[in-house]
Amino acid sequence: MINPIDETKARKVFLKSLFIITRSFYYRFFQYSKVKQKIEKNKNIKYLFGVLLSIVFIWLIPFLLLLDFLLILFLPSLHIFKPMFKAGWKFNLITTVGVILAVSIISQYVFFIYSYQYQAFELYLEDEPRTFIQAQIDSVHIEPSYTQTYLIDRIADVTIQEMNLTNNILQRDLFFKRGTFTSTYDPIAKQTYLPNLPLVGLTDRLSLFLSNHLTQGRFPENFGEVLVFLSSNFYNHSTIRVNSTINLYIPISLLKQASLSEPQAQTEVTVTGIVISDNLTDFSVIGSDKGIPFDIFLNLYEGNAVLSPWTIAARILSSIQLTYGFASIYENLFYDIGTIDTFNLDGEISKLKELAINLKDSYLQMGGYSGVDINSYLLTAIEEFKDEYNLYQIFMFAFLAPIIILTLILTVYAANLVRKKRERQLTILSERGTTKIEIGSYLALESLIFGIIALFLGIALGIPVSALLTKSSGFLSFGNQTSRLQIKIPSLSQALFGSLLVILIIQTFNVITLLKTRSIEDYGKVEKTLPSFYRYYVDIIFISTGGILWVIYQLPILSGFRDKTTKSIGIPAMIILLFGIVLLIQRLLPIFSKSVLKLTQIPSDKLKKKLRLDIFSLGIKEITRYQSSFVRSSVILSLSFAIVVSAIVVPASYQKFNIDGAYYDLGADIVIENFPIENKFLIEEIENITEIQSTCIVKYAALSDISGDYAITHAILGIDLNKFAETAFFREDFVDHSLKQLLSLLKEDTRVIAQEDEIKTINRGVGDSLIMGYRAYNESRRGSDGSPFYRSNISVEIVGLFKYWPILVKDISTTNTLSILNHFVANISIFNKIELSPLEIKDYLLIKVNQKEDIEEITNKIKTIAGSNVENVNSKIFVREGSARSSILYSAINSTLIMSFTINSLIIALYASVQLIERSREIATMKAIGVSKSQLLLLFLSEYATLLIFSTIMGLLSGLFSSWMLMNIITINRSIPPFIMKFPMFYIVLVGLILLLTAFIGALIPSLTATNKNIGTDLRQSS
Amino acid sequence: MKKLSFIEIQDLIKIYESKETFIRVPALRGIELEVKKGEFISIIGPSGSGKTTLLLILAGMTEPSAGYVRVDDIQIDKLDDTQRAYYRRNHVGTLWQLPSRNLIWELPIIENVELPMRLLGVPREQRKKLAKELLKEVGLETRMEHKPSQLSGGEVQRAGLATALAHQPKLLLADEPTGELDSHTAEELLIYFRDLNKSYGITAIMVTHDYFVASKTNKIIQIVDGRISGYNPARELESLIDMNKVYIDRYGTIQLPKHIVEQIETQKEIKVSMENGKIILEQNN
Repeated sequence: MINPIDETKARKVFLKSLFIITRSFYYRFFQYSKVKQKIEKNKNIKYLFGVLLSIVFIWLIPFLLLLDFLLILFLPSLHIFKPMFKAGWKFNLITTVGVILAVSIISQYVFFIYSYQYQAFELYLEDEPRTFIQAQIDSVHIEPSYTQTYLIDRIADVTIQEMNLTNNILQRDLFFKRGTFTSTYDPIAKQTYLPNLPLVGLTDRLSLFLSNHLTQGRFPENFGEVLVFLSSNFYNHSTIRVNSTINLYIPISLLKQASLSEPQAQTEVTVTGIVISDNLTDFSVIGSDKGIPFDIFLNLYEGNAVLSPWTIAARILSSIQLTYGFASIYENLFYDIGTIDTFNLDGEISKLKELAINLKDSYLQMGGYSGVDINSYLLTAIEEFKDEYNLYQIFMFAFLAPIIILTLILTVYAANLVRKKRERQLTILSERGTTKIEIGSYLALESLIFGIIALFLGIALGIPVSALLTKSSGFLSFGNQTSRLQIKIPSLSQALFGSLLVILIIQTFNVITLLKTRSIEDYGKVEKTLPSFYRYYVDIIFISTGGILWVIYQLPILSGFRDKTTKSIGIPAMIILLFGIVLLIQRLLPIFSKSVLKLTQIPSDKLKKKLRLDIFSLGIKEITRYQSSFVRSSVILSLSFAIVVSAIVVPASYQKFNIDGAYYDLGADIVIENFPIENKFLIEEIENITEIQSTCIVKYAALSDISGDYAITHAILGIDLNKFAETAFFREDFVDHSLKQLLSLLKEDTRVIAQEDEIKTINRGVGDSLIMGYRAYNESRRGSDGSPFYRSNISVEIVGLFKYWPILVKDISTTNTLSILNHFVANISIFNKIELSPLEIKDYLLIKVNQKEDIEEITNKIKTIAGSNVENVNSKIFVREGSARSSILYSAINSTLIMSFTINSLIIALYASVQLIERSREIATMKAIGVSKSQLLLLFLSEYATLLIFSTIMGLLSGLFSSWMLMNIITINRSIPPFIMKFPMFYIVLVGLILLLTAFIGALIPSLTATNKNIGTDLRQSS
Repeated sequence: MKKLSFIEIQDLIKIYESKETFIRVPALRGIELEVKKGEFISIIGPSGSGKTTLLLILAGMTEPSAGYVRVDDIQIDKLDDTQRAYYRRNHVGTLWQLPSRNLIWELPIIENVELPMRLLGVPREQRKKLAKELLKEVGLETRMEHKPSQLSGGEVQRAGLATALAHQPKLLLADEPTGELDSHTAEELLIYFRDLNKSYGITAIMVTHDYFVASKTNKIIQIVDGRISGYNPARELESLIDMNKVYIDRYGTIQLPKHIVEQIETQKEIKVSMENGKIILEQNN
């Protein structure tokens, strides 16, 4: 008889001795060091001991403590580890696959987000030329000496030093500018005209840059000499040449038209050199790869100017009457974008705001300049980036959060599938006398080992996938984007932490499930009911919780906290609702399989045999037999398909929304703001561009009537009725009837159409008339009244209604407050009836480009004719194809798609494998009674096909629903124009087919293996 | 105090309660039993009579609801979960009807046999030696490295028997060990069972339906409806077998004697009728 060893006693003895070893080690070491100190007082040795001691304290003691802890935890199971590991590793691997996937998704997400964020700002600024901070000091008397420039620059320098930003500011440049215009003859149009040509005074660096890039002539050196900076188009339309003399005038009236007659305040200058701006290289900034176009640097609206060194320009300026030598001084501060911490955008924003305030203060305190404006283009860019980045994060979060949850479910599901086998092993172990502590300790050790494997493999798998994702250029396509994968300590630790958390959750769940005492008699039960969570109405609970959260999220009272509530309420509500719906619709699976079964039970025997419907119906019957397992798989398949559908529908809809939004704001393909509409020649020249389909003139003015605290504003958009419909962007849902019909009502000057909600709030409707009071302007009154302004009104008739109108309606006023803004559209001729200062009327030229023409290219063509005030719709679209911004969007989609494909094929393969192991005896019996291999294969495949068809339909439906919710979330900050759901059917069908195919292959492999299995072994391996 | 018996059971009651329906089902209703050391006894009775419950209690796998149960010098009705695990580890060997319950299917049989010794901390060399000896004794010395799926039904049960005896328990409990085997293999297994019982001096209790199997033991105990209905020394049972006595349980299930089953066509309907207090089973040819 073997003497049984008391396990508890043995363990205690071992641990005691271990602690003694640990303790005596510390004791001996410290004693030894004390003795040593007495014997040798050598400082070097002391130092060495210090180092050793610190190693002991920092590394050895925690290491030994960890070792003690691990031993306490795992010692009870070490004696059973080998056989149990050998018996269970295959089952563990199945679960580990799920954990690896979860870890890989987390690391993908973290690495990608970090990599993106790391360089996103620079990518974001790729298309933004204005990335500097500009201090504009108005009304400064310009002195013809560089001392003035030094003094002003010193103010900025001191401020920067005080804020410790010396390393952040790469360069500072000063210049002065005064608005002037000239008179020139256009040899093509054969007429004289008066183009704007501001006078600019340059400091040394700017002078040097231009003298190195002269197109013709030489750099001005003497008084009265200037350099002309102009576009090639301007050059062709003028007689300004080297050595020619030109007159510089200043506008002396408020009226724009004043420039049409030559005023007296003028000077004559000689052109010594010409710089053609079209081919000019960008002005480079020290320490930055990115240059800046010189016209943008100088803030030239029309891209042309006369330039001279500061001292010469100052003297030219003072020689023009009425300027009194006054101009605006500009100081451009170039901030090192590389130093901007994109992980602390709020910090950077407040730093830049502080800089702007301090600069303004310093110019006032130190220089006495009061009219200072700080145009922090950089700050605007960061703020915009922050909003946009937030949106992308929502995108990523909204897609990847359900994917991670799905992976968790998959893992738990996989663990459940193999649980029976594992439980059997553990039951035998327990019957042979193993205690719960021993089993628990073993399971913990096993979880640790497989968790570590999953952690490393998952991260290893996540790295290349996230590297691929950073290259996402479109729907399942990957190009050569400039962003690189960045794996840094913070991202790595975050990925590790997140993964460890997930592993801990999964493994704890598995251990707890396996530790539950179970009766061995439960094995082999046929699950004819829905999974147990249906008994507790989990689906209903999910739907009601998600619904309540959704309602809370939509509450107007919370609208101010959208940034926070989107992530904490909106998306969770969407995910919970999606899960609830997916769970709820699974209740239809039995009904669905019964209906399919009925279809297979056709009376014609011949057809039945031909289509092998007998086998098929047998397969479908199995779905009812193993309902519980089938429903579980169907849940996961439907969910993953739903996520895939959302991943296609949402970006497509969002892109459409984004494009529509851009068009809505701008009004047409290309728009020229402040367009001189009287210049018929210019319009003609633009219309002559062959790629242009049509143009339309639009005028906008806001008529304000203020009496006391009460203010009512009528915003009117006057349109060219003949050309608007064919030129401007318009969507059918913006009006109730057709646009043409509505426009035909506006023939008379005083007829208007109004916004339907707004007009209701002022109790008016179609057919009613409305009197609009406003502050009118007439220059001729100045003489008699002392002021050109007076009160007037216009009576209009409301002839129709609209919901939304591009350019015009950005917000709809729905409340009856003291300040009301109403929007109207009218015939452009209405402006003949309204006497307004020309400065209060905005003129636009809308341009429609022929289809398939490159808008960008045509914009550049127009710019050469009409100056730089030309905007096109492309620049307003965030996610246009090929942009760095679209990369992250597609990364989210691609990641979702890749993961869904993997999960789908894995889940069905896992399910099929485990089902086939479970049913091996049944398969063997079927083979024994003469069912052929092909029939058997058909049997299994018909089961999975039915399951896949069901889950695909359900996934599609729930996917569409979740897409709608997600669109609501991401467009919550902008309700006009309302989003339209877009269904790229080609992609949905394509992805659906890929999913079906991958899942089917997943099912086919184990099915084929099963059909080829030996009958004898399976029959013998009872239960 | 001198011990009179190896197992002593008094007023043993076991009531199962359904967690979902709260229905209480009494499985044992006051069992009184004494078993001497080294005895080989069988427990017979109809399905649902409580045989397996009694075995589970003796094996320390389930707690009795009331009563006194002593095995050797351990009062098992007083043990907690962990103590019961140590009791199983040190004192009990079990052999079940389902082969998959006796062996871990994923391990070769030698490792299965070694497992109970691992739990006791037997050194590797000794463990290997003992396992080999045991497997040799059950005639599996050439199949030690095989997995259970590669063995025949009889071989699997023999391997199970070797596993049950690996840690040299004082008590061997078997629940219908021959249930899944044909009569020849069953007899072979019983021979091994009896030989090992004799050579190791282990007290063995076997639950069975089969009078023939029961006749191979020293003593037969009948349990009907959770109560012991009588002791029958095996020798006297020969007559019982000849008399073709069977039990009808509370559900009306009858288990016909093997020699009758062998003569009739199974998987076919039979007509059941009652005349003058006699049950008549008729099978039409």
